[in-house]
Amino acid sequence: MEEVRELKNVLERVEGKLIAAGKMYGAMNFGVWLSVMLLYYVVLGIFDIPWQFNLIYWPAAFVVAMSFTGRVWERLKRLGKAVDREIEASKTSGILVMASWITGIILGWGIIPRMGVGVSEGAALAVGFLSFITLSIFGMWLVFARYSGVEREIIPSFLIPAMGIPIAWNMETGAMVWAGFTVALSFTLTILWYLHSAFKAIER
Amino acid sequence: MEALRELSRNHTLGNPIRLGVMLYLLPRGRVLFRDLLKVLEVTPGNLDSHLKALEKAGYIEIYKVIADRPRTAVRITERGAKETGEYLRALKEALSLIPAED
Repeated sequence: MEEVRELKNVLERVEGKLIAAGKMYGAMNFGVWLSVMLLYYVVLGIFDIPWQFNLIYWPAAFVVAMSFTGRVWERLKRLGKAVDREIEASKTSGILVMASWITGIILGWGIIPRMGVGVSEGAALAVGFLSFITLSIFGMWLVFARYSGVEREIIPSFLIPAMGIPIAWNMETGAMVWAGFTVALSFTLTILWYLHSAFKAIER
Repeated sequence: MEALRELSRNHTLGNPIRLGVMLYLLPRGRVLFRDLLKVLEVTPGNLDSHLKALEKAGYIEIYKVIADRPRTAVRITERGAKETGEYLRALKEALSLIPAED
């Protein structure tokens, strides 16, 4: 009986470690996107860039970060198979994730800033940026929820930027700085939540 | 019963070293032969024979990489991940059939 109990414990620990690895990959993924956004802010702080820059930067950043996300996704798929939480990596789910980001880019960087939202030009840009993050990640989260289960850790990364929109809307100055802080905070919370879940899975 | 059938069906993963290789590979995807040697504490010849058995079953792929010098590396296949997951679940289920001793 002692051997059986020990084997059960070993299996639980193995499963916990596999779940933890999945959570850590999730954290790494958001870390990459956080770096992409911080680089954008550095460029924004150093150069006086027109809004059209966003149309070049974000699609390019998307391609670069997606190559990393793609690798993470492959590993998550593999881990999902082992922990009985198989990710349905169909073509449809990939297309839907892509569609949510493209919609976010078009609305957040193309349409919303030109609709005259907010009390200033900076506010319009900030509202567009926050809308882009909110819509894109919310869309992606919905796809994940449908095809691979609800990832609670992702919730802060779209909820906090959404809550930041009304404040950015009414800011005459510093709206883009506020937007950057909001997104950085939300991504950081998501990363921390992922790490917390990973430790919990290891310790269970 | 299904769990027991699965366990008896999969002779490849019934060996603890092979199962150890698969569990080490699952979260990592790929790993160097020398790292597996350190982790599993087996001789190179022993590990090599187990890797060949896993490769024959289609669970892993063995290939060469250039690190500080040409090295042997191992990567897990889709099939390997799936079969290992099923084996772990079957093992868990089979263990749950054994009543706990009070």
